[in-house]
Amino acid sequence: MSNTISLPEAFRQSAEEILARLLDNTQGAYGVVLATIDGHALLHAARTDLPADRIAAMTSSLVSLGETIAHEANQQKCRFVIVENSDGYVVTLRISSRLTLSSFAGNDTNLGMLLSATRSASEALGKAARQPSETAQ
Amino acid sequence: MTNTSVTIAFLDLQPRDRKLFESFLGILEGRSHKQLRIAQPGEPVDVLIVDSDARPDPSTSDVAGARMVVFYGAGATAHGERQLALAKPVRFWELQALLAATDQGDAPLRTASDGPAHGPCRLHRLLQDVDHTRPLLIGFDQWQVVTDPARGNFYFPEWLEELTPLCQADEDRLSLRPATEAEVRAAASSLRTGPLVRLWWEAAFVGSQGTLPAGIAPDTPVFLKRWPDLGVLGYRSFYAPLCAMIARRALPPTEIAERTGMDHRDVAAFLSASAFCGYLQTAAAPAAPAAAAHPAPASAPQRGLISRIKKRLGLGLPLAN
Amino acid sequence: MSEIKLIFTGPAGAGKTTAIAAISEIPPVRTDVDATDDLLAVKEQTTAALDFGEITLDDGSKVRLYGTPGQSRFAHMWPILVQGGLGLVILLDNTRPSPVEDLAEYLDGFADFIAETGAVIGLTRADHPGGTTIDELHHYLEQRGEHHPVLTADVREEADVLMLLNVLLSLLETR
Repeated sequence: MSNTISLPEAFRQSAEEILARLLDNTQGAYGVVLATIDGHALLHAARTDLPADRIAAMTSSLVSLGETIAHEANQQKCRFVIVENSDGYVVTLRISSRLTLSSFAGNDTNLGMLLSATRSASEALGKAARQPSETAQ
Repeated sequence: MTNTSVTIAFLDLQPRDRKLFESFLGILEGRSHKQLRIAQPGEPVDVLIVDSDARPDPSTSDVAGARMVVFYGAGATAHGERQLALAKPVRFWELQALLAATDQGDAPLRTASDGPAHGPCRLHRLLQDVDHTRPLLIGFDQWQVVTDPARGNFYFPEWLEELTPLCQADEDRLSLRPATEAEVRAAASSLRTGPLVRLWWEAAFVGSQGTLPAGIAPDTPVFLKRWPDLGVLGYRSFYAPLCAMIARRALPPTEIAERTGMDHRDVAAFLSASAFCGYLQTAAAPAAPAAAAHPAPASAPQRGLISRIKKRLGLGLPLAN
Repeated sequence: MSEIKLIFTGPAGAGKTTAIAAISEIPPVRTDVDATDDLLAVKEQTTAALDFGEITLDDGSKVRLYGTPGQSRFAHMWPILVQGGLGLVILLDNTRPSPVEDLAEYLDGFADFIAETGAVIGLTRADHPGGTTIDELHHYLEQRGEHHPVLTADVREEADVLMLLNVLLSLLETR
């Protein structure tokens, strides 16, 4: 794993464990990126090379577009932005006002399981981020 | 005879345009010591402002009784005496000049919005006889304007924000001499500050009186070395197509007028101002400036689309060619 | 019929959304997110995807006005947004440390699009003390061998936004 922005140590350790658990427990998942809402990569874990910085920026665009489209369509609260490709899925959601989580999986994943695991990870990360002195900068 | 009361009426103006006129008139009333009123129905009208885009050919009964008719529109033209044209959107100084024209009694009307050619326009000619790269003190009646070329500024009394009166003034109202450093400092601290290029541009534009600058004949190809900063000049909407026409290629004035469909006097005034401010260069033969990149020419459908966008935004006439 | 669009770009805070709002018939649609980096010193939010407004032509066609994200990490949106566009407005903020460097970034980032169409450069907050000058921007363009209009503009004023568009559209017309 690597990080591109300095994080409080306690949060970083918790987050690393959460990301690793998502990868280990979700069939087909090969990457996960924790980022700020404005597109800075904080942490990522991956089984392959993943350009975390660029992906963080792009998923920021995705989340903002998803939320804007929802609003334009008179819908509330964008939960996930799901990109289904011929050989896999990209799933992005907002954890908090400041954080997003994106997970990447191949065709051998179950989309429902991927969404569930990503949501569980985001809840755990949100909780860890709310701990005193452990908020990501 | 000076009119102390001026009645104004509007014909077919869009609410937004009318609001603009009314807000300018409110300011001008305070500055001009005239009473400016919207004419009541049946009341004699001094100035009738007609939206010429909505009503390009008003009937005689539409304009009967108005002392002065102003055609206001993207391609407005005046059709005779006691008529003026104003391009959209109206500029504050144009309205100021228009109201000054109501003092001219029954004489044929000309204001700066018609282009140059209004009176002797001496400032430009006086400037050509001095080194205007050095600080100058310009006397205009009892007021003073000071230039500060080192800082790119000029300093002026607040009421002279619109430069027309200065640039159109007769010689006997003007004086010109070098300014001392102390005078420059005093002016900088007590008067309003403006970009010097604006003064030079306006003086040359108005003062050219529709003639080409020295050294440029109607068939001399010219081009812009760089775009003038239209944001600080007294912007007139036709500057943009004129600049665009000779920003990437050299063309003679006759062809510029033909391609843009503009009056040759307006083209000459533009070129005089461009030359005086150092933007203009002549070419030995019609040739593109070496530094310009040339994308593929716009197709006819694309030019048509651009014309429609300009029309929608109220940005003036499409090019003639 | 393909989309008709004009694109506004420039660094965060230069006034892209303001410029679009000045002429759009609809309130601009925005995709702003909270800033978490040093942009916070300038503004609280940043555009992550795009802004857009629109105007309607006499035949009912829509002209879309797109604002790009200003920060370079969102440059992946730039080629998407300019695809099929008519031309580019580059807004520079004279209160930033180096408007010349900002200009370089956008001239490089949109080089292909500018070469095919055209660009106008608007310098906002031009009277900021110690900022760059129009002359310096022109000098930089000359060093690059490029020749674009550079204008002082206050994009809070509709007239200035219209001036920028008049210049851009006139450029496109006379290609």
